[in-house]
Amino acid sequence: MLKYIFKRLLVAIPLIFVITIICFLLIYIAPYDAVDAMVSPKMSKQEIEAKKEQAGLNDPFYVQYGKWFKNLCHGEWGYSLTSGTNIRQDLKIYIPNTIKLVLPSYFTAFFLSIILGLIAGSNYNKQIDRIIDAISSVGIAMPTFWFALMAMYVFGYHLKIFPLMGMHTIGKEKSLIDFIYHFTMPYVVLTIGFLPELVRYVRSSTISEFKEDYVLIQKSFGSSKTKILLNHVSKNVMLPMVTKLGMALPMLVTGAIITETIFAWPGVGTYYMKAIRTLDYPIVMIILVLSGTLVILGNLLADILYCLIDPRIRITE
Amino acid sequence: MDKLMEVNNLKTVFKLNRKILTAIQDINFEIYSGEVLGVVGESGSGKSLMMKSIMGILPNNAMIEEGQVLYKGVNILSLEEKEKRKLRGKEISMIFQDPMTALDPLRTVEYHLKEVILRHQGGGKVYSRKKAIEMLKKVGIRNAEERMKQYPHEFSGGMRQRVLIAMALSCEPSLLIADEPVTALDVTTQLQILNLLKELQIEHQMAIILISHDLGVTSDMCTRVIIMYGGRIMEEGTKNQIFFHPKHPYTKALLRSSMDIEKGIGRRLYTIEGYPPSLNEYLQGCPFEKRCRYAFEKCRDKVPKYQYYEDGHRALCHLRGEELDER
Amino acid sequence: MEKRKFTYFKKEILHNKKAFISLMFLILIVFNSISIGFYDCDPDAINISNMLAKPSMLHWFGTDELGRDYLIRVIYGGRVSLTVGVLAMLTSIIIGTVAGISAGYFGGHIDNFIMRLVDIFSAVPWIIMVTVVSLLIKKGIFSIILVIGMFSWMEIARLVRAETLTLKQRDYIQYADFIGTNPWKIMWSHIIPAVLPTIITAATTAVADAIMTESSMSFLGIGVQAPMASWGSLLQSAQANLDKAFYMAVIPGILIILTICSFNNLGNLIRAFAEPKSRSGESNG
Repeated sequence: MLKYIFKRLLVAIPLIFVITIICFLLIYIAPYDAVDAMVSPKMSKQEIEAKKEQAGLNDPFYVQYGKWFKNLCHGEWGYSLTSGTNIRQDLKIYIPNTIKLVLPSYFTAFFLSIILGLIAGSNYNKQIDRIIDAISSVGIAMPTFWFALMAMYVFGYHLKIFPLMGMHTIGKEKSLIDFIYHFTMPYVVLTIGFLPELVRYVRSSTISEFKEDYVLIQKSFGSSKTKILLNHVSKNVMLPMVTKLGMALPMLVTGAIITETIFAWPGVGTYYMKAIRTLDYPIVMIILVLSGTLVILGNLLADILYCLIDPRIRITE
Repeated sequence: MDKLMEVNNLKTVFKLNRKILTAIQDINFEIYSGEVLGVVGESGSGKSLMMKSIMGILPNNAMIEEGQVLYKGVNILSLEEKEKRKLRGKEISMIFQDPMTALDPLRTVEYHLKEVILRHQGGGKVYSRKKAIEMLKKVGIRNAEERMKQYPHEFSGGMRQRVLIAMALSCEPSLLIADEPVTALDVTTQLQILNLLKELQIEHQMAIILISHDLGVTSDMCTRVIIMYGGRIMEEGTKNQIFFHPKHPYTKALLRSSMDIEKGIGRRLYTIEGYPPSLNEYLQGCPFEKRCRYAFEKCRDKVPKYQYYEDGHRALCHLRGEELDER
Repeated sequence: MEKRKFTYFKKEILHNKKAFISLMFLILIVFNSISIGFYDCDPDAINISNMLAKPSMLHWFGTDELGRDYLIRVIYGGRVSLTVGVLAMLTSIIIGTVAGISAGYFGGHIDNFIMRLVDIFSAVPWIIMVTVVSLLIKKGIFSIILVIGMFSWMEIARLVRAETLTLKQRDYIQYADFIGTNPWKIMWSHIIPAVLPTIITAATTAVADAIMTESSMSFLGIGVQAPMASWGSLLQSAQANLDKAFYMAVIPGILIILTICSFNNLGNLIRAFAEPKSRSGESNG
């Protein structure tokens, strides 16, 4: 089994490499001059040229890439073009904020989807299944940001229960209750955003599982549908769900970009969108590399988890 | 010997694409405790469906339209689902054709056995574990205590079938329904499993309904045989009657096509030409008519009535057995 | 055989309520989008004296922040959303099919290369990919179509490749290859017709996804640019006026939901026909 993990790592690492090269390439060909971050308009052409040479911007591509990659691995992620802040320090603040939002939302959606999906799948074509299926079909077709707008209007403007923006009211950063007030709407919106697709997946998985032979065998031994669901089918359905968890790793950073922007939640999403709008390439580049790496690591994690949990793979030595 | 189960006028239908199709009809037979009844038929003859109807484990799009199944005097078809479940695995057990997919891949063999034992016998952890080990040993699995902890994929096909037999017998059922139990296994394993079933049958004095399309298997184990075709019982009789004095054209054809191999090299194998009727075909007359060498007009238009012979021997045909021999 | 399937299909659509309503809705939307061109109404007709008017008999959907009639804006917006959806779908289908068939049919290095490309393109979350690329190319309707198409071909490629691999084993394909038929001809005359059902099913899902992606991009400001509007960009302007003109946010959103739902419903129906049905019940001997 360790061999399997090792093999997968061997495939993943070059992929990450390629991602970094592509990221660097994209920004390299972008219509911007990195020297602009280091010069002021008052400098003469010669001074600018000198700065360029000094910063290594006239070196061939692979040299520049090499330097950048080395810096990347050492944790030197550059500075924002607009605010001059250290990107790594920025992310140290923003990533936890995003995680505070995404983690609870995803887990809630995951948990709920298992319950709803199992109920729907085990009652295939009955009333409750039709309802759950219909709602999740509509949910998949519904843009999360639209739902956010609806929620904002009803709960923010109309009923004035929840605040619309940000993570804290200024001055109340330590207050948990204040945080919860701000947290509620984006949390609900995000959960509803994740939910429909997960429900649909669990439901279809449950329906296929019930068609398996062992279900008939269990019936012939006197098991009730509920017992079959709880003792056998649910396990078989949840096993592949583990891979979904692995693939949700990148979500912890980039899973809520639109939602964060709408609610002005101080997380990676808002940070990133601001960078896009202000053409802050260094930030964009880092987030690009980060998200690509997380996706690949997430897939790897999913594979490993699967390996650990499925007895069919675990035990065949 | 007392009557264990009596099936009367059983008819099961399918709902397919808004049409209602008859799968089996006019099914009448009895089985006595301790005897082995063989059910022979091609794929699609309805033999599996008949058993699933009796057990009450039909798929969602099938239902029993008429009939009753008297088990120890009680019509089990009319029981509440909860009551039916009490019978399954305890009074009547079933083993199926494909052992490879019959077990939950994520549960150990121990779990499977204990689940059935606890459900029907109770007794708690210690008892169920002891009983599980006992059953596994009985079906010939060595190192039962260790192997119990393993998962289904660690067992071969034959071993898995033994596990399923252990599960089926763990609650000492009075009737075991074996639906093509050895068809999916290789020939050597087939013999082993059949011998196992024979031993267990004698030891537990249980009745077995053995479904097969293999006449050899049937002739080996069964005392009485039912021949099915197109959802109906074509012929019923003792082993001797069926194999040595068949009265139905289909039975004759089946026997002819399986015995030819012994008659020598150089002759063409006898086959029954044509295909069994599909569910969609609505038949007014005898289902075997199209492939029957004795068929005449009446066969297409009218369903035959049973012709009766000695000692409960009967055949569904317009012609008597003697008339067939003349043609 | 195809004709018989088609007749079944037509019969099923008429019986299946969900699919029928979906089809009717889509026909309605498309009809509106096309026919509005024949009317003399300008979606950009600004009327400052009538800003943010609630829906009324005069303006069925009210007016927006510049006094433009919202109904007309929404219909024109629908036109844009649908056009982008369909064209982006075509782009991804073409790229995906070519990639999938090539990878499946030729195998070996070509297969490896294409599958690595699929992995790389799938490695970055779509929103990051899409926002980054929008930085590099000029904004506009064709850019969006290209961008969406370029980042949604991967799943189709996988599906088509899998189908092609199975088909490659079929006798008639092997025979055609054996007698020396040009591989391009084999792919065009034999493989493409056989994978067509899969492609058609994937196409309906692709339109639905493309409409969603375009809406999100336009909402973020990197999609269609003013004065052209799509449902997504209408929602962006709606956000600024959320408290005063709630209807501005409700209407385009509902239309997006209904349109995507309709495409998905049709897609499900087509999939049920494209895939061989397993015969229920009978197969259990």
